[in-house]
Amino acid sequence: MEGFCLPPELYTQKSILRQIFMVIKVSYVLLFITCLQLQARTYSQTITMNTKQTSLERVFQAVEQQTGYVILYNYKELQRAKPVTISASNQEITKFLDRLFADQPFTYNIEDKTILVSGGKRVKPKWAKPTVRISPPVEAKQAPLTGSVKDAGGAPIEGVTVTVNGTTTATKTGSDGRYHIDAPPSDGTLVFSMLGYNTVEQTIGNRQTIDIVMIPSVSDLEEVIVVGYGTAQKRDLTGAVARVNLDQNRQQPNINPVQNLRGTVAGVNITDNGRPGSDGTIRIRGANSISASNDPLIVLDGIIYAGGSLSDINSTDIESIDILKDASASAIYGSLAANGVILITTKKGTTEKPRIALNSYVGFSDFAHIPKYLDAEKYLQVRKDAEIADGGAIPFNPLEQANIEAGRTIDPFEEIRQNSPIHSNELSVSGKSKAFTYYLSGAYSGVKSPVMGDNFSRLGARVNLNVKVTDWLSIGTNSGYTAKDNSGVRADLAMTTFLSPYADLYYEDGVPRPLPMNVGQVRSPILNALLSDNLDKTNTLFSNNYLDVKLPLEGLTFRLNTGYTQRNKKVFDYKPTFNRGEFFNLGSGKQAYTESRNLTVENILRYDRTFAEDHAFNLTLMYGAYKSADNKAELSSDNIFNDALGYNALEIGENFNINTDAGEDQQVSTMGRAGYRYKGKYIVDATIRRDGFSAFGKGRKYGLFPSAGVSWVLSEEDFLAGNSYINSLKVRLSWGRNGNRGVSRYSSLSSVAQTNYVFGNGAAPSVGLYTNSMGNPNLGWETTTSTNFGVDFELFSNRVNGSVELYHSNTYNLLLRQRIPNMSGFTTFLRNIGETENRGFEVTLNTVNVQKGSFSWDTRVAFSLNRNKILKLTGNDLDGDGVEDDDIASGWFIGYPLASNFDYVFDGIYQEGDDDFSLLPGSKPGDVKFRDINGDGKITTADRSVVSNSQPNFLAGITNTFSYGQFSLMVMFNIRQGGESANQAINIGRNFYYESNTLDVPYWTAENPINDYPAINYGNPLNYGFYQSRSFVRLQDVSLSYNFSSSLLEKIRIQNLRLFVSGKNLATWTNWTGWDPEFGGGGRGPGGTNNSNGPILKSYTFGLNFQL
Amino acid sequence: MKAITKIIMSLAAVVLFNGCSSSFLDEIPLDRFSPENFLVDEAGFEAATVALYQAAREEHSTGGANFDYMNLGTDLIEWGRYDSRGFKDYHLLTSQEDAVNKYWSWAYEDMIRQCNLILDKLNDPAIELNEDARHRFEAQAKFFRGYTYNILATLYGGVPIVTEVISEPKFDFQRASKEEVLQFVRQDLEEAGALLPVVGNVSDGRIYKAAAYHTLSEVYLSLGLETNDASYYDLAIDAASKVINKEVGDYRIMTERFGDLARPGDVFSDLFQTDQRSRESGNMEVIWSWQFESFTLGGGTSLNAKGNNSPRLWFPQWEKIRSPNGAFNLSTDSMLRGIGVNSLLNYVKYDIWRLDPNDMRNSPNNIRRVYYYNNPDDPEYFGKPMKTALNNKGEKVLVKNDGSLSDVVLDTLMQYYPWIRKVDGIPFEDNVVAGQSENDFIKMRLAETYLLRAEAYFRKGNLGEAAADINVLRNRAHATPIAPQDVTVDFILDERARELIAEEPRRRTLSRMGLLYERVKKYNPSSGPTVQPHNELWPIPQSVIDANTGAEMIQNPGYN
Repeated sequence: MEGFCLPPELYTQKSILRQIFMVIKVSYVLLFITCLQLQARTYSQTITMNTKQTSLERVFQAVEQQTGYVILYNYKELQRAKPVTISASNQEITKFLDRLFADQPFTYNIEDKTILVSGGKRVKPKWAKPTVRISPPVEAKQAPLTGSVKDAGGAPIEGVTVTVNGTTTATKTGSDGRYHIDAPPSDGTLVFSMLGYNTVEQTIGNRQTIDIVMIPSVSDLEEVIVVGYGTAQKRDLTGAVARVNLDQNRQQPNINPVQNLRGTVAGVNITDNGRPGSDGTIRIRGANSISASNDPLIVLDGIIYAGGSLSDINSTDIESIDILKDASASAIYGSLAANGVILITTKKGTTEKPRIALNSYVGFSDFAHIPKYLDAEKYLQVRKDAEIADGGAIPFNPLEQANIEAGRTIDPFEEIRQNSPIHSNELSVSGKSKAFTYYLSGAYSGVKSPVMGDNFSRLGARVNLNVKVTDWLSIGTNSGYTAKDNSGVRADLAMTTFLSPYADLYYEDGVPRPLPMNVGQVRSPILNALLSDNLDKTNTLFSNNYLDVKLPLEGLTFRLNTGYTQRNKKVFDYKPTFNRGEFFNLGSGKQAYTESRNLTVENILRYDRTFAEDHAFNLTLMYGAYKSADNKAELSSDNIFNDALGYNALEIGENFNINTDAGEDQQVSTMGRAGYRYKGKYIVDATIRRDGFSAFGKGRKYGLFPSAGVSWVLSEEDFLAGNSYINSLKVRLSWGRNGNRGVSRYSSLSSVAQTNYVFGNGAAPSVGLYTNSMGNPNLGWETTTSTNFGVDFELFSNRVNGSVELYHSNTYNLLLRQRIPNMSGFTTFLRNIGETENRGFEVTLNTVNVQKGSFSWDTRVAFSLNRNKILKLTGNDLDGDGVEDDDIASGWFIGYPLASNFDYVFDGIYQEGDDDFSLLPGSKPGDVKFRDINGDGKITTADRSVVSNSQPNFLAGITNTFSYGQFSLMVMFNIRQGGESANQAINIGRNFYYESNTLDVPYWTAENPINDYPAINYGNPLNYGFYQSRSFVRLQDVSLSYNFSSSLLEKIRIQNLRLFVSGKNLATWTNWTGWDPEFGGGGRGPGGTNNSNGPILKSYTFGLNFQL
Repeated sequence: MKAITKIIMSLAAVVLFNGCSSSFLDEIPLDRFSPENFLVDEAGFEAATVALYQAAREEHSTGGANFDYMNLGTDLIEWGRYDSRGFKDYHLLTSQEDAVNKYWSWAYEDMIRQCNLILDKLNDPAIELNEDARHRFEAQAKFFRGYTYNILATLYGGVPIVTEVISEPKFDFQRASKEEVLQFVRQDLEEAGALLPVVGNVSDGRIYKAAAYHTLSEVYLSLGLETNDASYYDLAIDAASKVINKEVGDYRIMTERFGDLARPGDVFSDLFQTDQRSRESGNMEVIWSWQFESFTLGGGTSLNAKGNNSPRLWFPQWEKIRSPNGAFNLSTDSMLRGIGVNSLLNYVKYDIWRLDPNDMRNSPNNIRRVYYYNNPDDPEYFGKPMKTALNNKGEKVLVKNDGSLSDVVLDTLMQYYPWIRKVDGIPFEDNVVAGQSENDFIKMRLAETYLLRAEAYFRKGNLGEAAADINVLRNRAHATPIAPQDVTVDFILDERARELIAEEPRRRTLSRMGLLYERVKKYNPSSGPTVQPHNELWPIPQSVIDANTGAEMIQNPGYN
């Protein structure tokens, strides 16, 4: 806690506080004198009641007392009942009930002395008055009917109302999800309804067991969404907030929860980098920032998950994922939220009976998409053509020559392959008692990529506990511990692409050859993977502990929230002695330890009340502080003469090297949010937050981030009442501003790096110090302002629902790492400058296409389109043309998107017979022809222009789910349209084409005079980028599941058993010839930091969910 | 309850008052220095100077995929491989060429910035340093600054002169004229020369007076050519003479064998033994060398294997040759693996030795022209010399033991050409395959000082003195002396090739004399057809022109 301080003012202002407190106390007394009069009269058909702000449940009790009627209702559903204010004197019961239910999201039926309250379908009483049905006389009695109701993940759903359609026969499912109905009519239909789920109808027929799966109605406005420092009903939101449909993904073996987001949420673009256990890249509504971070903030169980990655979280522990997309929604997180916020809530205990659940699957993976390099036959052909192009013999390397003679070939990508199993076992126990809820889980999962040495396994445990200490105090924890293991040296993918089909990877005795092609630049991709010993383990503890206090003022609560993340990473490496022919080295090794700690403390005061029936008011105040600190120590030595002890005895080597690092940064935040709701129709929200961050320059550390939003639920208005097509309709408008602090610590300071030199022979190393960055004491916040307009709708009895979002955002004072003339000593300078704009359009659409008997077909579409543009840069107009200058060196062009490709314009290929090479002297047939844009008769740097950009035109995810009886089939396509990236591997000639494998692309020859690819030995004098579209369509997820019927399971006392098979990334259609079009590596290596990307995995899994 | 309420309310009040003392957000780096807190005393300045030596050695790994761009595409060597890199095709020398960028950024980012930082801070009166230390640091920083600008002026012509620490971005750099740059270099080096110490008995890789005067003599030569003012040649002669006459330290042309006499060799090969490149070993010729040291922190460059990369670049890819029975040659401790990129031209292989084939520098101790099969898997040929002949297609093939021609065609560009033995050395960190040695790289040697003075005498028209200086080297090499009337600029270049191959940056020598185009055209069959007169200078890197938005940075003529 050192470093966290309480403001000194707090102590001096104690007396003021006490006064405030007194005032509040008095107000409390005045405000909360409610009068509740219930006059009881036995067995009356009329009711007399006078009540204000009373719970519906208490009204029901009173009705039962007065009339002797029995009211059947679902306690859970009743949670969403509105407080009742009603006054009646000897009113007839149906009239009274009509009035009572007019304002409630329920409907009722009366049969004999029973009033059945149901709320499965949101019926608007104003336009569709509940009908009082009289059931037909019950015919011949049938055998009892039983069954169970579960969610898509196989968890039983408690409290589902099961009604025989057209009758009053009704029951509810228990905590095990089971129900029982005596004597249903065989020609009847069962209706299963539950708030938050789509209603399901099933014809009874001769069946004695009917098990169903209920699908949550995602866009249901009653859904409770996590919004940051609290929750809200979706109907009350003013900003763009999306909930991830996890049920759809539960059948997918997503060891990493990031996969749940891939292609499923409009406006959220996940770029898988193919590495098991890696988060890939997450972009919400495109990239705002040019040089600062574009990563969204992750909030786990209400507290900033600083220092943690999504891959630390076990997928099945997650209850919900909500995404704050626009500034008004995310401004509550101020400086951290410029790139959106991902809010993850883990599971809690929900049933009194303990639930034990097992989720288990096994499978294997393969490459989903790898670049196509030459096979043996084409390789020989290319070599022949290269000889023609170069006008002379090009002898093969000795190893190749021998293999050609012997007819031995390899497939390089097969050579780096390893067995690639996937396994995951997750066990959880959860439950609750009056004062205690618990969720405990443990999981062990592992994935091996087919790329040798690329392994990931994770052992995780979670404890979520909540204890209600008294009726005003509860404490709890949401804590997880994860041990990740990435041990193994991954095969070198770039080197793999250099291998020809005639390369020789092993000596006769099976030892890998260091140079499998006799070419120094083509090293063995697998030597280190096979011989080196690597340990890479990360242990993460995330502990969120909170204390909730109900203050003595109704609706006022206080929460003290603390989050602590500690991450310890160990990377040990040992490269053993190698001694074979000309190759010799003694062992060398390394041990590196990193520890990072993040501490967050937040004080949250919340006030939430409804006054005078129609006025709902909420207020949230937060004060918090964050601190993160890292330490790193690295030890290494080489010339280790004996490998037996590996990296555990580095001291027996020579040339010891020590490197230690440390750093810390801090942030303080104050936040206030207020919301007001009138009649649930008009909603206004406002937030203001002030953040201070240590990495900015003196006097620039603080930023202020306001936001506001309004929404209007049109369907609550009279003019839409009675409209039978529109079930609900809401429009939203919001505005907000937030900041980006995504710069690393000490960014404002100029830094000094260390080096060494040895003077003389046998001397000790001398230490050298040099500056390696230009400090900027004026470094401050990058700020984004955005406006969002959204429409949420539910149409045709909720057969169609979804939302449409339109947004516009401006980011200014961009944190730009600008290219500067390096005569100053540095290539780049981080500064606040310029402005960018993002406009976009997102559609989320869920439709129930067919629902007939036990067959249903649902479709979900997530479509997003983002247009990005640079509006302003330095503001300089040095060429005096009245237009602000572009920054060519940095690759920024006013009016063009970020990530623009600035280059010469490809204009075909010089052909035989072309003899005018004056445009670019030195050209010859087979070379690329460039367009002379300024028409000066030669190709100069002035002929460069923005030729394309790498951002997609649009992204779309389409999911279809088909259910028939116990079977369910889900098929999901992920689509990217547009965006070009450089794929320089297309230019074979640039990279010693004559003694290595090359990309299998066409090339110009005199016999095959094509006009779109240059000759094989084209030298590319102008470094042209060779751009290619990264559009793709990917069959991303397919899963087929079978739910065992409950009658069968009952006998063996199992609540749920479900089997599934699923496939991931099964097919990819694209014209991109590089690495995966999703991340777009266009070189020899797959791209990413240090070529860390890998082929995206195609996987097949088989699994089961099991619940006791 | 009341007490608890109070506590809670106090906590809640924290929400309302954001009054945390501001020191919470102050930043003090924990693990790194800032320029302000390390350049405060002698130790700090020493560390800054050490970084400068390391940066200077980085020139060795500068330029594209660390190829030898200071020699490729000159009159000495051609690109030995099939593709068109290495200035085999001069059309690829554009403002986007990697090497063009790398040299420029090495000069400004690694060298000049650090020199300016040291010089700037030395002017800070608040810093307490004794006079001696102040002079020591100033002299080294000025030497390296002048040394770097001289390289820039030779490669690129006039470049922007930056003399101070730049603490905020500047976009309006302007090119000074080449003469202005050379005058600036001259001033720095003259001041450095005055302040630098005289060398002692050890070679530690540091800069001493002689290095400044050696470089100055070259700079005066450039100024003479640039201004047509012959008085600069006198200055060049004076500067070189200071070194030659031992006014600035005891340097001697080695005329007798020294070091480990058990080794076969001659005095010229003795100069280049890995362990005989220092004064302690008796080698009094070396003025400055980059230091390499296996298995030691700071012992190498930022290259992959970090050693002296010369063997890799200069040696043919000899391991690709197989015996008539199919056994491939092996790289060994004495035959480090070359990749055949610096392929010797006939000019070096034959032409320059015609004058006197018995020149010591052409002896088998210094140029390996006969190779031996060294793969014991083939006992028939193991240890036997390779014999070659031309087959009926005109290809050079290996001759079998029985005298018949084999079908092994030798690639004389990449695999089979003479081996410059001064590059031989002990493999760096035991790695034979990387083709790197632990030899210190000799940057300046007294022999070159003689050749610089000879050039100055020649340009002054004093052919007698020019011949005398050249003959110092020829006599040491037991080669026929040259007569005064035979001294020409071509002869000087021939002599430089004989004496300094694989040491001098030939491109800069030719560019300095304005002879690159002419000599490449004449001697280099692969680069000759594409070289153009404007290639005498490199283009200004396009990325620099693009970034310099505040003023036009004029490109060198001939480049787009």
